[in-house]
Amino acid sequence: MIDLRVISVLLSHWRKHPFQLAMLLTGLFLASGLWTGVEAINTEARASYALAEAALAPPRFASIVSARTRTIPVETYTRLQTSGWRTSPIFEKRVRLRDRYIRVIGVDVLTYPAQDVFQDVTSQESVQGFLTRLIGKTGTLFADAPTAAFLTRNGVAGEILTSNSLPPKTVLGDFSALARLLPGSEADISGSGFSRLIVLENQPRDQVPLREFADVILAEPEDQAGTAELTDSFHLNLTAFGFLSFLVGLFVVYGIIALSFEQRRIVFRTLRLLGVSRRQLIASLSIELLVLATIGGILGVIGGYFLAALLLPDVAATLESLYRANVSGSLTFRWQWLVSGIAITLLGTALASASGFVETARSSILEEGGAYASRTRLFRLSRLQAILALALLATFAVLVVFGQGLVAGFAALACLLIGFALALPSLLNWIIAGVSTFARGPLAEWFLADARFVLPGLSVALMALLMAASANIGVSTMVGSFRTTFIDWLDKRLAAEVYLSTRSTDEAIAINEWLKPRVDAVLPIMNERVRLSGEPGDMYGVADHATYRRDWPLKASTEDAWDRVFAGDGVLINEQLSLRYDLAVGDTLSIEGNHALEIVGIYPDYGNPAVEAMIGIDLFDSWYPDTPRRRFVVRVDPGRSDEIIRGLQEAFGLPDANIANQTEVKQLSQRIFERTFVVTAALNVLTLGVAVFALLTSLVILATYRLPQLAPLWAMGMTRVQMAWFELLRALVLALLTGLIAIPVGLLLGWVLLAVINVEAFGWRLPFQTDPRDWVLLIAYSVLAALLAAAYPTLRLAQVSPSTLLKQASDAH
Amino acid sequence: MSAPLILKHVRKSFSTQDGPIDVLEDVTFSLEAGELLAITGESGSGKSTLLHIIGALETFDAGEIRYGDLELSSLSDTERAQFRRSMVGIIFQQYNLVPSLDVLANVRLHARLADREDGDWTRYLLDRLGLETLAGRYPEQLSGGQQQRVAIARTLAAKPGLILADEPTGNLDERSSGTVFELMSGLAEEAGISLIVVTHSNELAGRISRNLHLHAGRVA
Repeated sequence: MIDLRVISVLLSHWRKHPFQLAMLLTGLFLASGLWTGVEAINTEARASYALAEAALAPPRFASIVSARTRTIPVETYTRLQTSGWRTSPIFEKRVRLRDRYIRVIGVDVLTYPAQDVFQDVTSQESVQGFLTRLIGKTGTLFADAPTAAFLTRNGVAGEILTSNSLPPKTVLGDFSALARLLPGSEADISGSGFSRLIVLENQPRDQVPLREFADVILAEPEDQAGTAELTDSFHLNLTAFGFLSFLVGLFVVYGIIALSFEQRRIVFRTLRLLGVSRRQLIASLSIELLVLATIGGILGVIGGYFLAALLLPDVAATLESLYRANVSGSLTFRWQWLVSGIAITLLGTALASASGFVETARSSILEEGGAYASRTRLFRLSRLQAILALALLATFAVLVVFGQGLVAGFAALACLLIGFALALPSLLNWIIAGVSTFARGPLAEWFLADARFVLPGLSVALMALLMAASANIGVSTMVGSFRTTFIDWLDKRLAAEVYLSTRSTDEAIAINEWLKPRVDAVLPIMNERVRLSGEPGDMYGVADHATYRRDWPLKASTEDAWDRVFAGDGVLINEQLSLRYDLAVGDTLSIEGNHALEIVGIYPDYGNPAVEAMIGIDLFDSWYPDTPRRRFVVRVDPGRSDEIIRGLQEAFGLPDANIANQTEVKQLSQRIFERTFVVTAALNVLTLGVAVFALLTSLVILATYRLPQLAPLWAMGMTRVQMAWFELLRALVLALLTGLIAIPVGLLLGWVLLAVINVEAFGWRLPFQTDPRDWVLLIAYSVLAALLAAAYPTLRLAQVSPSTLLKQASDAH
Repeated sequence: MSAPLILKHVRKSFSTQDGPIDVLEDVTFSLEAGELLAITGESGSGKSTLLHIIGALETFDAGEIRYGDLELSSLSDTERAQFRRSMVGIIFQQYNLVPSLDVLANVRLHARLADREDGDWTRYLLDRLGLETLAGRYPEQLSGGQQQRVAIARTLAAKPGLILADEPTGNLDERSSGTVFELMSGLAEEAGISLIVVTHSNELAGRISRNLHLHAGRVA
């Protein structure tokens, strides 16, 4: 079936057209590169989550967690042990060291079930010797290689061994070692207790049932929502962008493959005439494309690796700021994304070449591949395209109205983008036809008629440009809305000048006394872990002060909301809780402990994945009398906040991590915000770049066919430079029209991102805000893209030799 | 190796919107191995369809076509491709050269596919057809006459038993067409290859000893 002689004839096409080959490989490279880059980032991040979860709670093991607070007191642990519960305690805390947050995990090495962490090092020595060293005087900590180096560099004494089974930015050790090596940790364990207790295997039968312990509950392995689940939406977002880039790249591939099939129709026919069977021809074409796609795919995977390595530090920063997830900033080569990159390239190539294969398989051996046949096919194709576009846009409407969940949201986005892209050639055709009726003069009439004539050849590239430009407007709208809302919200939410976290209740009392005569107000921040509408969340207690009454942003509220909150007669809830349980102002919120309060307001809470509620401090104290007051916000003249911070540090030795001034927090938040969108912006620009490349490809290819059409005009007295200007102008006009169509499509896309995707992914809805300056910029980009893409073919046309034109003019039929 | 060709009561019709049209009706004739035959007739008389049927490019509705021991109606699609590859050579008015291959590669193509490449024979053909100096050129760099000579060389180089030529000089001027026709028929005769030429030119047909005239799908 496979005949190398036939394949060599097919390959001769690419030898003769090296530019086409380069374009095809570049298209494949871009498509698979962007996809692989995104996949590599996702895989790396997920691998980090898996390591983190394995270290904290091995997958097979259930855990005992606190029913109300975030920690289990040491006394509870001891009671459980004496009641027959065999558990291994875990302590987890984020500690700030220099400019970095490190996750500290304390374990009891003798009972800790995730022994993989130690596996890398125990093979070197006896288990006995190792354990002695681990809990002995010197103390040993474990971390991944970069974290170990960072800790050593920053003066953490003692032995730090590297373990490949630990996630990045994490240090693990026995409680005794942690207490010695990381001062402050011990106080946390004795003061507040353990984060969780891992329930070990082979529990005794006569243990006291857990329900007799009021303050703890059992969390089965499947109940423990991990970072992977929390960050799903973020990764889905990245995947969607990767897919969009892939799709745009695929348009380039489709354009080149379609052209190569069209140009080789005579070759296919000749081969068939010379005795090559239809099946053999299809098989040989498949092998040819398989080889080219594999080469392009491998190149793409290599490119994707570098892209991912470039973007990963920003993604890691985003994930840390949004989800507190520790992701390695450096990339490890993984087979999964190599295979996935090549597989999706092959799949994409198969899709891009499907119509060519069908056409080749169907074509009769005696069929003339002339211009008429080609135009009939194009007409059929454009009609099919328009029908498909309508079907996709109808699906979009159905998904937006009736769809539920993030996947439905992204499917709606895909339908919207692809639907409009497919409708674009028909739209442009109608617009130009409409304008043509007003055209006066032979040149204007020719120009418009010619623009319609070349439209099929450029439509794929213009479709790619429309997709990239719409995505650009949509994402700019989302980011712009986000930025405006976020900064305003941040100003109101971070109204206080200084934020404090004390290390013990005694210290809290002393600091309060010290502060009172020096500042305007000291307001406690108190929270308790409770179930709100049945879901674990945080209940905050706030004091009656202008900080809340005047500054706290509310999306909806009753007129007397704050009066009722401070009177203990109403509750404020965050938007996540409102959207998740369809709660509105006036509804009643059920709160764990058989409490219920009327909702008097809903506040925006951007960046928080959890549900939250807020009540007056008096009611809070009566419901949760044991909650310690250890965190505070301080209101003071902004000019004096540095002085107060210095004073606190001198008087109480409060570390940097426990004190923050508003300016720093705002700057940090804004930095995190900007960094969060670095990846999106980068992918946005790359997608637009691929679209420019698609346009360049199409224009260069088109230029090779233009001479027979332009030569008669030259013969009729038009100069080469004039023809070149018309070619350029036509590309610019088509790009301009595409840019204009991209504006409503992009705005619709932005609306879906804000009203559907964001709500599904993060649980909050942003107000739709758009800046027309972005549109002007985008249109300018589109025209500039067309100018860049058209420059080379135009220049070539301006310099074409008269003898070539003469030959074309005399051969033109 | 050439073999006798026998056609008996061959019929062929095409269906159109206005109903079926009979293109060939009861065509019967035979050709000895190595014999040359010119088929003439007006436009629409069925000349090209007859040639396509003999070349296994099209099927026929009724009758029998036998080339040597092969009965064409019983061949599958793959066997028909094999028949074209190894037993016949077809020359069209459009030259059907592969634009991405140079002249030499185009000439060798059919012979390579048929596993019958003969370097001496190819060189001899290039020399006889005046293509030696053009061997490295691509089809787009050749005139119409030169392209047709390449197409003829390609067919002859594969040493088929039977050559079918459909208006092979239709795109050429009078002088070139005479030269090309002479070369094609002379070389076919020299190699002992049967040749059927479809032409509407009585002048060219007159250069071949045996003529068959088709009129409205029937042998006149």
